[in-house]
Amino acid sequence: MLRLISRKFLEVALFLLFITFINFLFIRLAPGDPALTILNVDELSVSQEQIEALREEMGFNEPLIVQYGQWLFRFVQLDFGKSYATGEPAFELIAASLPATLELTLGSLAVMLILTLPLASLSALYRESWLDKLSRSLSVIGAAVPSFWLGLILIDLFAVQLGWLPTMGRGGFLSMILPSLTLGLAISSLYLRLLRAKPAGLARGGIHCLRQSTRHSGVADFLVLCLPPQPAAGYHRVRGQPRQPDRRSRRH
Amino acid sequence: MLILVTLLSACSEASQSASNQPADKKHIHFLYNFSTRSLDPHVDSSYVPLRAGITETLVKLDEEQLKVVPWLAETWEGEDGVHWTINLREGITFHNGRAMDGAAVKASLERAMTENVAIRNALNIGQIAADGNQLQITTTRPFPEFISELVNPNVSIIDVTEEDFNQRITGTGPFKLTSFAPGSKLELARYDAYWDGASKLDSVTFSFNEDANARTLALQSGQVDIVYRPEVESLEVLRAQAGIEVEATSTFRVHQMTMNMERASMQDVRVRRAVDALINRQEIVDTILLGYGEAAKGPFLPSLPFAPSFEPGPSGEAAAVQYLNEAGYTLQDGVMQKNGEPLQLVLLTYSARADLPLIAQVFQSDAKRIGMAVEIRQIDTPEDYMASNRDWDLATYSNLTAPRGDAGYYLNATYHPDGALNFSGAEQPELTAIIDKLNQTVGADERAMLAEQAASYVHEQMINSFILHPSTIVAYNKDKVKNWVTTRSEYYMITNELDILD
Repeated sequence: MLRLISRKFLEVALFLLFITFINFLFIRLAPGDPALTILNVDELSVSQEQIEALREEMGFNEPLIVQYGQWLFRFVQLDFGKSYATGEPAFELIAASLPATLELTLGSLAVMLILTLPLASLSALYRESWLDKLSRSLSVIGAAVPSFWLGLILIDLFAVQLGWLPTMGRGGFLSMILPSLTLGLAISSLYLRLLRAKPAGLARGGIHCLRQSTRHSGVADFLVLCLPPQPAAGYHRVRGQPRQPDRRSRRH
Repeated sequence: MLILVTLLSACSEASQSASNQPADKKHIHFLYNFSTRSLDPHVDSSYVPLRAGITETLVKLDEEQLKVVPWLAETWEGEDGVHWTINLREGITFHNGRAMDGAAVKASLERAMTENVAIRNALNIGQIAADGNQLQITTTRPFPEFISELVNPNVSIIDVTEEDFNQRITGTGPFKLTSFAPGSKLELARYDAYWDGASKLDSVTFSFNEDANARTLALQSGQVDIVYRPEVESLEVLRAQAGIEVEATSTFRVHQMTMNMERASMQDVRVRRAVDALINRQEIVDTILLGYGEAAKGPFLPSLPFAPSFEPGPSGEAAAVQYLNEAGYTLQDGVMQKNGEPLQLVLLTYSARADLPLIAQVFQSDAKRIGMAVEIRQIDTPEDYMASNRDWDLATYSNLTAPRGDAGYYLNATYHPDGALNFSGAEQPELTAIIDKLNQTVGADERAMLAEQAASYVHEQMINSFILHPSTIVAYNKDKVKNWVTTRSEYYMITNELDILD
């Protein structure tokens, strides 16, 4: 057991080393010389000697593997370094950006769920109905319209023309609505197709029977469809109903 | 889902109330085109603390006379270019009430040099001594442009006894910081004890948005009052909208055609002159910048005291062909060639400044008409690429030529053999001698004469060709905003003069 744990631990460590080295390599090989940024050569008079001295001081002239080793040494001591541009600790910069990222993620996720779940479920239930066609059209339009353009249109409509929402800023629930809608609509188009395909597949596998059994229980069809497939199958067995053969459900 | 909505509401309500301003208060909302996550005035390259009127420097750039004038410093002298005496204004206090005296300024300058290696290099300060309201500064070498380097916003004077400079700063400006949302906005309140007369405004919101479209829409919706650099394509719409004023001012920046004189074809000055003659400056200003720029005659804005007075040489396709013929090139089968070798040039450009690739395309098209083949090569970081690769002939590049009202920076960086931006590979003893002499000269008039002499030499030898000075564009609500000034330096934005109409 100990050997197994040690082996797994070694594997993870090697994997992390590999990943961090590749990342480090890409960042270092990307265009842009940090020494020129630090010295602000676009606005301040700097000599080649001063540039070279800074490169030396910052260790940029060392071989890449040595630079990686130095970075790794600091990293394992939880020293994540400082931004070349502002001098702020890198960890604090990431931590400071995280709340806004989470807000946008939650907002867009909420829009996606509110829009996708009922629409995908109902369009799977009522295939080829007007609702299904609307859902598919929305999905295609959502995938075709670029987010930046959709964002501008929404700002123009709701902020400039109607004046209901702010055009920009991070200043409250109202300012979250347009960015969440823009991002949420973009990802909805993907999940709309995906979820519609999934319940349609379930329907072929016996969801029809589930509908029959819940019709009089007051449970809405789309809520039933939101249930994972395993409990649904179990439900059939408890009631003692035989599984419906595929070909039968296809007829509906 | 309910949890999500509750979370969204909870995380937003606190900040929502902060942005609401009482109706009876005089308030202006300014929207800037760069964002910053740090307010440390000695490090942050967006210069927001100075632009927002929180901090000030010892001297400033006068926008009308285009020369350095007193600000926190009242007078100065340093005839030998090494020993400088700076007398500070009396009675200035920081926003926390502490006096701004020699010791406080010394501590602030020392912090700027410790925190920012670029400032340490730029100031060349060896020693600072403070006595009351007087500073004695010794530079490490004769450094005549020392005073003009103090215009740099990264040399802002702050109270260094405070803490957390990234989020809270204590300056001497007309507005004090009340809150800062990194990457989003600053809320500012009037500093009543401001030394140059307290502002008539009660408060200012200084927001950031890096999207030009969104900035334009924010002004149209009435959410903000002043927008820095609205979208150029929307300017006609903005002009047509009642109550919006659009202002444009030429900046100290020049878009230039950098010539790599280490390449065989570009070593001939007549080829370089042909390239210069082929650039249709006015057409580029009118079509690419939609008129928001000024055709360049040299590296410096014509209104600067050291702008060269020479007239531009002949231009147009005929003049370019004439220069090439003089250089031994002839047009055969639609190809400009010399000794059977076609004239093919590699032109670098980069998209960080959106107008540069378009300028490159216009040049390529014009060159094709006279049989000159131009291959455009898109690069990411021009300084990095041009310094380490010499496989190019021309490059569209944008330079600040007198950011602090002095020509020393540009001439040293671009034409001195040791300069960091000397991508042309210029190593001309006569030009180097002029720049070296400039570096030893203190008197403003003599410096202006030497700078003009250097610029004339650059033009004569066509080391680089200058295309245009782009404009800074600002749009604002003219029914509300009073005393807004669009500055050439782009340093001074929120001032104690800014007001709203009654």
